[in-house]
Amino acid sequence: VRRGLGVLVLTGVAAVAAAPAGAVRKPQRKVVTVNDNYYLPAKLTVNKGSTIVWRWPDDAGDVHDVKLGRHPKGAKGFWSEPGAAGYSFTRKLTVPGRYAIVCTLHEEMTMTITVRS
Amino acid sequence: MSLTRIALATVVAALGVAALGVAAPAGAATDYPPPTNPGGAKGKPKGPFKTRYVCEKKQGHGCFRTIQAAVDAAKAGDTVIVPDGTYKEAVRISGAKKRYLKLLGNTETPARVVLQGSNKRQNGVFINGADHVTVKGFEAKNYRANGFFITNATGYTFRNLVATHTGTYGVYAFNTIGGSIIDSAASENNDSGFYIGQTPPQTKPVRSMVRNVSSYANVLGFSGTNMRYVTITKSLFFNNGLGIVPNALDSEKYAPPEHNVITNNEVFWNNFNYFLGAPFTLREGATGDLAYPVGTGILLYGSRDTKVTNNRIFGHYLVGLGMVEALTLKQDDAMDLVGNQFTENSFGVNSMTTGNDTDRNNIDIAYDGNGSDNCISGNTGVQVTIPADQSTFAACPFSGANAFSQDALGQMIAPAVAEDHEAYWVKRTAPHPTVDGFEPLEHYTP
Repeated sequence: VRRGLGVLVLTGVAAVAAAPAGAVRKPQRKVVTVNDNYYLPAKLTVNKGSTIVWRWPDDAGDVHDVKLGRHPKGAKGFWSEPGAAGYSFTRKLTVPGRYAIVCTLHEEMTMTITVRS
Repeated sequence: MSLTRIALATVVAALGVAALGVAAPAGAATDYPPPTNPGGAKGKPKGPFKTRYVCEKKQGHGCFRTIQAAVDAAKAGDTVIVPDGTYKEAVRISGAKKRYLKLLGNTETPARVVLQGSNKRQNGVFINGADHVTVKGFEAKNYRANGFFITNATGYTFRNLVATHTGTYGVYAFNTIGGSIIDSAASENNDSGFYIGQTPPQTKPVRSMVRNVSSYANVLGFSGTNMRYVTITKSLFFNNGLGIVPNALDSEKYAPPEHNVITNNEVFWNNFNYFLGAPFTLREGATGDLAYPVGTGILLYGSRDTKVTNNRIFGHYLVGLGMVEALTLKQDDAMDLVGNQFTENSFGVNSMTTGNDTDRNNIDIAYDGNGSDNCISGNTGVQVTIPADQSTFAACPFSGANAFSQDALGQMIAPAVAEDHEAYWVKRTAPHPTVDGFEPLEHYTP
């Protein structure tokens, strides 16, 4: 069964790779957890139009926020409320390019998102 | 237990990595905005100013249903009056258009104007980029993040505030210049009751004032990561895990803390071992391998030019007053202690009793001799010290390298890495003398 799955996955990968140029990739929904003091994942690649959900832990944590730094031309800036726990912040990324995210309260806490066209 | 410096460095380095968890990737500096410069170009508004009223019960005309609606309608320099009541809101005051705003509750009895977080809202009042805002006369409780939080601003006034049972900080100022926190109280916060962090260095420093505050039953009574130009005075810090802790950390900019003054405070009974139970949820950081040394009155964890003078420090089971280099700091040039002074403090005498009863600390003063220009003199009641022979203590004034003691460093770090947070406690005065209206908190029982 495991081997069969591997073949299936490989087949799928091949199918994606072989997709005709200009084919529309479906928007995704990705969750980023906001931890002390790091985002997870710290690098993310998504399709155009994807929704990113930053999710703070349910129990307890330090205060963090999500602010957009350098971003593609035409993308709108965003900056979440500072939260510690039981909070989430959602943004839809519609402009392809690279988005740099930082916690303004902890300068080492950064992440990047690449939005494919 | 005495650790060699190499062994200690190894331990600390290992603990530091563990505490940081997954490291964020290094990104190009230009990708991320630098901290906002507090104090924008906008000047004092000219008016005319209006007073906006939040509705009292059954009142329906000429007033606003919520505090946020009144704030949203207010222009720079306006006043928002909030009557007694409970408000299930997270109030946000943002941008230069709200500068000089006054948000006023009940200054005589703040507990009558309650901001209720209901354990789901993040911040009771959050101010971002609005200079010279005044908030007076509120109690914020049960917020997941902070009770009162200001950032990227200058000249704030927080007065007559009560912050209790928040997820992180009771009253919090980050990346601010020249504010005041006065006549306020904070309790049962799972980090610090009061916190001033990441103060930008200034060529013409504007000092901040913390005066007549009461902080108790928190993990820390007062925390100051990379805090500078702050005076803490005429205040009570008691029944916290630790009382007052200026500290140098990499997680915020502008290390180390410097040019702070801690004077004329009562710092006592900070022996709250929250590890064994607390009225709040402990954060992962508080339960990590490198723990705050519970049972400490005042601890400088890396500092420059900080004066700790004329405080009454008593009844601590670990250390009354100590300073140690910021061992976990990656920024080497900000790690060492430089130019700090411990002078004219009283130890082991309970100043809260009419008879000034004996109420000893386990260790009165601890200092390993790291750094330069640090001095200790004129203190009274000092009986037990680290090191015992006070070989690291230079009398004030002093300039030059201090006499480092590896053994003293080992003694100071040992409680922070011990599994049993009471392993190094000694209760030299037990029970504490009775103080009307105050009950010692060591172990929390619901």
